[in-house]
Amino acid sequence: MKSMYLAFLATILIAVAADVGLDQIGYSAAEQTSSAGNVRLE
Amino acid sequence: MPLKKLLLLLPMLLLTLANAPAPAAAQDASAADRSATGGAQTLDDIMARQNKLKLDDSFRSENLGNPEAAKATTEQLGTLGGVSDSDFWRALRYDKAEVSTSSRSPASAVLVQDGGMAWLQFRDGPLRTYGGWLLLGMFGVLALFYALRGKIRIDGEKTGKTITRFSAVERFGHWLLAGSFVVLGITGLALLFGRVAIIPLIGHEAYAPVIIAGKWAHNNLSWAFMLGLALVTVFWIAHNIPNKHDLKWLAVGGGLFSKGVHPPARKFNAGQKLIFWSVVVLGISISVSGISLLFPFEFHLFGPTFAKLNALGLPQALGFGELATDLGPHAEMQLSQLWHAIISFVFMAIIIGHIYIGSVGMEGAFDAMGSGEVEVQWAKEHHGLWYEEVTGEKAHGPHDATPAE
Repeated sequence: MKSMYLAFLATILIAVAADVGLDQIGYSAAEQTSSAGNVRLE
Repeated sequence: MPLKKLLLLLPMLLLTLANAPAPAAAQDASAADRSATGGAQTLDDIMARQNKLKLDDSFRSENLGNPEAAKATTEQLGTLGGVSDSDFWRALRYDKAEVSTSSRSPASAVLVQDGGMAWLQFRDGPLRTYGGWLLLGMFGVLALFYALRGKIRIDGEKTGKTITRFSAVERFGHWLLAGSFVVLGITGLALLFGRVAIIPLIGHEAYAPVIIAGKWAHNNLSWAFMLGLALVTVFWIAHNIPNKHDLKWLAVGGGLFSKGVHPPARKFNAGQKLIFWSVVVLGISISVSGISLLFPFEFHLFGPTFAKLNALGLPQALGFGELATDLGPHAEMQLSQLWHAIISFVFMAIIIGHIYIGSVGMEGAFDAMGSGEVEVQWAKEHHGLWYEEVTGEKAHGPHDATPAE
């Protein structure tokens, strides 16, 4: 059963890493349509 | 037909069915007389659209004004540049206007898109209805099967000895895939059925934080799912190539419906192979559509796919006519979401059966993925050829094969 619990732990770690990682590289799905940075005022 | 061709056809067929227009759409609306409106749309046109009849929209989509006909600025009421407000809005409606926006988001230049209602109606209608019944039906079938067949027991006398069925790495990959899939399935259902099934039970205030957490989990656990899918595919693809034993297994229904019937099987029997290839094909499809949802408007999957299907003549052969290939970014997202959900329901129905036979449905089956060690008698009965390959000993009695756990 150790493999199963390790896999569940890895699942959580991957999820957190994905969330932080995507944010770090500058991608956020929410910002695709709402970020002030996406708007250029001329 | 070779298996490779069948595997290619499956997703195409599923894609085609998913995007099939409603039966009524196959009918053409009769050509309307627009002389009374000076060529503008009539009540018949509007009613035809509401009845989802196929309508030649060129009288609108090509009526976008004529800049050459612009009146001079010196004239009264000049100049609109030869393009009236109506012309301009039609150009927006048919994505033919040159739009420049200050927003830099990927789909910002699309100001009008009319697919939202059709998407919503399908999502709130057939998708929820048929998807929900599919899952409930699966539970019903399994309950009936359990009532009739009961738990599939080990027929012979247990030896008290075990044999390693799956290594720790194999089990890790399986549970990475399985654990993430279960959470993705539950959160996906919560997103789809929340408004009609959960909010009435617990209220908006309680539902909001739950579904925010669910959405976070759904978005981010997807990467563990994709990694798990890649791992199990690499681990087991060689063991899942069909062979002659699969036909024997299928011929007797894998021994599912009668006691003491055990067709021969190697590491995986025909039922398990069907599960494996379903997981691979559906898993890839759900991953690709999921990535396009994770990164909105970045991918264009359906336009090119429909073009390939049209070139093959598949939609035409099935009577759907040519599928639309000029899809805007919002239409791509709408189709991705529906496709993602349709595949999810099929995937979940299959996996519910897999979970059943791997747990309550069969004695000793869970050990294979739990501890990795299975009772020797179980191995002899359910995977006799595999047992002989691994141990070099004969599996006494008839070769056994387990249903697709």
